[in-house]
Amino acid sequence: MAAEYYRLSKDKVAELFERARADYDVVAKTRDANGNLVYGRPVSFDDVAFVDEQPPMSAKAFALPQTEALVRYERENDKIRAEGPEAPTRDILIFGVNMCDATAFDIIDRVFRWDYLDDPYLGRRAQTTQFALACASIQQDCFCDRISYDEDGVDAVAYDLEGSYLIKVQTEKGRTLVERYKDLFATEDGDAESSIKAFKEKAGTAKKEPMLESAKPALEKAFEHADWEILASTCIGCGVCTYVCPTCHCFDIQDEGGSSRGRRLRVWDHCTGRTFTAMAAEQPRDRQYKRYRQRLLHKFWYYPERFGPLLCTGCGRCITHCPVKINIRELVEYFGGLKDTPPGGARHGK
Amino acid sequence: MGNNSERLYVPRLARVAAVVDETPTIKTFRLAFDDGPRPDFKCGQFGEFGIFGVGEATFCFASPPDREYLEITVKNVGKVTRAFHNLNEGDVITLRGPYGNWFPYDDLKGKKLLFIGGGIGQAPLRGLLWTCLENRGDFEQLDLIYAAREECELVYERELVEFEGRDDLAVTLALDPVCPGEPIPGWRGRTSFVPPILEEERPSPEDRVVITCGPPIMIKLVAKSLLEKLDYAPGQIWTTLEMKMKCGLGKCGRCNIGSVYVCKDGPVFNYEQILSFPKEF
Repeated sequence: MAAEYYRLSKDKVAELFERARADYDVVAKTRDANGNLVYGRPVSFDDVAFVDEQPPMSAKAFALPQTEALVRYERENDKIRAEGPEAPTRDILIFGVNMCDATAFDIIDRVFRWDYLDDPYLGRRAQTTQFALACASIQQDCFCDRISYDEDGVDAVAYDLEGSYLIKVQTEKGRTLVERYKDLFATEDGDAESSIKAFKEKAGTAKKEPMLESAKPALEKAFEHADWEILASTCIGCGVCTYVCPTCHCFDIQDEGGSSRGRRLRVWDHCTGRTFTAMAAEQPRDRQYKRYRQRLLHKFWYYPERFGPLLCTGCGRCITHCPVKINIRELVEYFGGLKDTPPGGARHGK
Repeated sequence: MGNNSERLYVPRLARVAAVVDETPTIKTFRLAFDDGPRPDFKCGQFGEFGIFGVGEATFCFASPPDREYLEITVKNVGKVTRAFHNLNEGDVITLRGPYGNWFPYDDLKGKKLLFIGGGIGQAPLRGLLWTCLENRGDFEQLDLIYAAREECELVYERELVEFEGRDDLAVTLALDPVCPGEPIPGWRGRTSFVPPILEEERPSPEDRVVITCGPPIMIKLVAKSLLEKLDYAPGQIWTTLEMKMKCGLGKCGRCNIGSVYVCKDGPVFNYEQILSFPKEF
């Protein structure tokens, strides 16, 4: 559908949240008991952090839970009964989701809907509406300004234009959200796209050359580059980059329970781990730098080759949270031929 | 419920109808389906087989697609395969699939086929070899070189004996040389790795296609020998690759080599494709 534009006055946001709770299972940023910002289920707007600050964990778990039952099985007399997962009973609204998390859903969707349709994932996605809050300033390690993928596929985006929010609606689910609480929204008469452009310029999120997509041709020639071993060997394989990543979606399937009753689970897994590709007879990625290289190239070469956009929204979490300060952006720039000198950051931080 | 096309991860249940001890570490399981016809598959495809409470693992369909039964051959090397080895007749296993691509049978018709198997790598070749034998008129010549580390590690021994008695299939069996050049007492076949056999026999590349599966090192050395010493083109070699897999569906992100998913784009590959992969292996 063609984009539609509305205005939401700032004093109406709380009412939108409260009323939406009647129709949706509303997820929003909130502070946990330790004061950490998380996507959670605050029951009152007083507990909602409707701010652009980025929480350490992305919102992907609402479509791809860290652990979910793919199959439940039970032995009755001599028969084994196996059933698939139950679909969620309520629609989910992710209220005030960061753009880097909102765009990630469309990127993961492409994997879960090509060829075989992944019913547990797609079932949840069909019931999820994103109401994103665009960042008013670019945050510490973010580089969404260097990734061309933009608002694609995000149901509705709110831009903080001081007095009120400009709301850009891009999908039927976004339109449903606005339709349901129509009295809270005003129509937008001005040149909305110009306002959005100015907002992004001011925020520092407007796109800046060279885009990281342009690294792909050089990355394709850099697989055997001798510097992988030097620059990526600091990786300790902890996997935190993949867990905080909004687009990392690799998983394991494991059984929990006994032979007569239990669950077959899907759990997040990570390619930087030693056992990820270990087989009985061999381990194709037998060195840590090869496992790190897999993660980087999956995001900036392999995935784009099959699915189009980068497997990255530029959220920068993997840089912020890496215990050994590996900076993926700098490595992409170096191996992708956008910068001539290797990053000192790989060993010594930014 | 239970329909693979709708519930992707919900497996079908199969019953172990028979168990064959192939070697001290390898067993073949014949599976029966009580809920309907057995899954239809093509030579080269695989499935995700499991035992509830233990987990799933990837095995190829090791029987010809036109038989009533379905067989898999499992080497005891890990948690799931160990549990398979503890199965008895009547026990229930889970199955998802068939997944992946298959050998291009129609393109192979009219050719001379040379099968080269190594150890349990014979399993994915077995269905195709039997299909070729049953349609012998489709092929000008059929040869099999089958190698294992030790005599007790040759799988499908009963079939090998049958193959050796046929006049429409030339069989060469080989065991790894403990001491190069020294024959193994009582062994009826060769004592050699596969490449020296190829370089000695020099099967001409004319109209011939080689289909090989075995340990990665064997595949590599066989290909090297064929390409460099016997003037084969990469397109004349087909193989089937093993990578760790979990979903078999192109989702879990585990079996890729570059942008290729072995589970979706393979497991059957032409060597020309393999040469275009990033040098990951």
